[in-house]
Amino acid sequence: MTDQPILQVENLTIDYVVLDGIIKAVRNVSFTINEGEVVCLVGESGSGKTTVGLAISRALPENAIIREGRIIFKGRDLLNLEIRDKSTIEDKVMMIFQDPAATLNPLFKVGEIFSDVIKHHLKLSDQLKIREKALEFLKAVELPDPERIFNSYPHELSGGMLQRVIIAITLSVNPKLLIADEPTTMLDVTLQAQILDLLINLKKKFGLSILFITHNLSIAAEIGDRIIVMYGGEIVEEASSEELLKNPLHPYTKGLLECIPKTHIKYSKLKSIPGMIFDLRNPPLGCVFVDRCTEATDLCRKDKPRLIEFLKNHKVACHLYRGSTK
Amino acid sequence: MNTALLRIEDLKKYFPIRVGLFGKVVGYIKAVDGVSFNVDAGEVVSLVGESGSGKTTIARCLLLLEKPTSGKILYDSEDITQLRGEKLRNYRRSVQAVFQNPFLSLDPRMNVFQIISEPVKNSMKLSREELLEYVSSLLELVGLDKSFLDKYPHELSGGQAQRVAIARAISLKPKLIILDEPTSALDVSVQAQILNLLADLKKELSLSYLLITHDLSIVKYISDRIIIIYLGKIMETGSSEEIFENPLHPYTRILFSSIPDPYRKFGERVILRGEPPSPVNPPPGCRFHTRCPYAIDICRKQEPPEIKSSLIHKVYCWLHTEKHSSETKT
Ligand SMILES: Nc1ncnc2c1ncn2[C@@H]1O[C@H](COP(=O)(O)OP(=O)(O)OP(=O)(O)O)[C@@H](O)[C@H]1O
Ligand SMILES: Nc1ncnc2c1ncn2[C@@H]1O[C@H](COP(=O)(O)OP(=O)(O)OP(=O)(O)O)[C@@H](O)[C@H]1O
Ligand SMILES: [Mg+2]
Ligand SMILES: [Mg+2]
Repeated sequence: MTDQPILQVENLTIDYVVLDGIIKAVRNVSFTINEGEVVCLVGESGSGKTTVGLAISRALPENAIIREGRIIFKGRDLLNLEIRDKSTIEDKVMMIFQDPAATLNPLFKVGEIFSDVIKHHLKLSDQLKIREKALEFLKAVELPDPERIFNSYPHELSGGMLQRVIIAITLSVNPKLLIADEPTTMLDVTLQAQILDLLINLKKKFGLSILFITHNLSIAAEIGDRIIVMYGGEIVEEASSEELLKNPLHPYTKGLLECIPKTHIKYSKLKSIPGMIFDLRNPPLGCVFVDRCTEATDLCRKDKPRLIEFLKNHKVACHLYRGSTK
Repeated sequence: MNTALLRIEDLKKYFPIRVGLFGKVVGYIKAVDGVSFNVDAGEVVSLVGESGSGKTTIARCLLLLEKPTSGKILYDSEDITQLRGEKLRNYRRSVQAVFQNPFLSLDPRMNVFQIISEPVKNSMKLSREELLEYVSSLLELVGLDKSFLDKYPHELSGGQAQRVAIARAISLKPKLIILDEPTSALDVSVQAQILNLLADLKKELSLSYLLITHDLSIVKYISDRIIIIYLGKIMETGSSEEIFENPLHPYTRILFSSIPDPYRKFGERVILRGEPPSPVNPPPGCRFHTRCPYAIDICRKQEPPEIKSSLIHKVYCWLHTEKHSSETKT
């Protein structure tokens, strides 16, 4: 891991145009990912995580509008690329999703899908070579019996196997940045542990940088070097995993940590964060978390706290932490 | 003494695998392969295991959606497959279910009032006003106000939709609710809200739950008893305390190790390699031996016996028999 950013996101602001208004899904989001780093984007449903991921992989749906911001990947602004540059970048940023079954065309065998990708991206034409490459990647993701998998249809494989197949296909185009959007959410806990383990091994082996999207802070803490907490379309806190767990600052982050059921404690009541997210068509004037925060004051309602580096390498957007002690 | 509300005896459910024009049966998927347990009145029993272990199939047998291949399901000491007439209707009212994806189980064309009142209309004689009042009181119980009455499922968040599904499940005053992964589609913060709600309702309405999940981390707080199931068979069962404080089966221990823990770094946990074997030809001997890091010779050949560690804590594992315990001390 070096401190060279592979990705810089600056002031990213994204709206979705819908029939009855404009959903302000992402507002003023800025962060960086260094080479070889695993950065986790954590937040509850609707906080804008997927939208950020889609923007970076330039796969936003048509009703999305990028209002503002820059996405700089290896020194080039992805939002201002010439058409002819786009395909070369595409190979370098890849995204995988939650539902592996929805990603693969059910009518084709894994081998056919895989061969197409390899042919196109690695400019190979020799069928034997293509097959060899595909099997090599299926082995790299620790799939047993790659030959059989190569000849299987997607529906013949379990969710955990499918997610591995997708990771194998994704890796075959040699990406530099992998955006993994809740890749384990549909899997049970044992498969989840396997896939996380695999991603970490592959990161080392292929020198990947990973943006890992999850609503589960436990997972983020285990695999992330750094964690960015989002709420209602904005970043509320950012720190290294250790720091964030040891010393969470934002009331929302604290709440998220308390929600995690701990196996060694017997509860009378689980902690939860009462209430729900606001309507994204009308983001609050002040702090995004104000409605659900037990420590909110008048100031929080009127004035939006800026994301400041309150402690060294630990940013928070909350009026409880005023001024920098850096 | 507790009375068994529900008693499952050696339940088996085999799905035939058919091929060809005439549907010749070439084999069986042994989804549930000899499972026995009780749920007592007022008790919360959790059924925990990986994907494909047969949890939902057990639930579907209880809900009369599948016919058991063999074995018995007794409710109030009566075989549910033999119930007819009023007794059958009574059973269907007494046993309700809540599933993983609330949006799949709520009719998108009905509003919340219609969704909750539908089962009530048919079995309680209530005037329109009484019905409205009853449905509102159910909503209040699950923590939603009256403004939700005329909302449609697409206007609800995941947590709110699950609350509506719970309101519908309690509307007929059931005795037992089967909760099949009730929180695994929800955010962690919402998951905690729903688990708290379920715990409160249980006390208030003296319900029993059969909670089905692959995630051990959510069961401790709410369960009285835990059943660990693998490939259609029980591996270990005991009180919540016993399973959490003294897990005996290697599979149970690995399930614990699979729970993401924010205070542990990755690599510090045991990861279960490989996929569960096919339920068509489950491995001989102990079904878990192909993935068990501690398997010894006998595990591959003979089914493990039941070892009692306490009155209700039982494990099915050769490593815990007297004769073989010496081999494991390494
Ligand atoms: N194509 C779309 N059109 C309109 N609104 C959208 C679209 N995609 C997402 N949204 C809305 O934008 C907001 C942010 O959605 P996004 O999918 O980025 O959140 P997320 O953090 O990934 O949530 P989840 O955990 O549920 O995946 C939500 O309110 C969502 O409903
Ligand atoms: N109708 C059916 N026909 C054939 N096989 C079935 C049927 N229903 C379930 N099975 C098989 O029975 C086994 C047990 O499935 P079941 O759905 O009960 O597992 P589960 O423990 O609920 O898993 P999950 O955690 O994925 O929900 C699986 O191998 C499944 O493929
Ligand atoms: Mg998302
Ligand atoms: Mg199931």
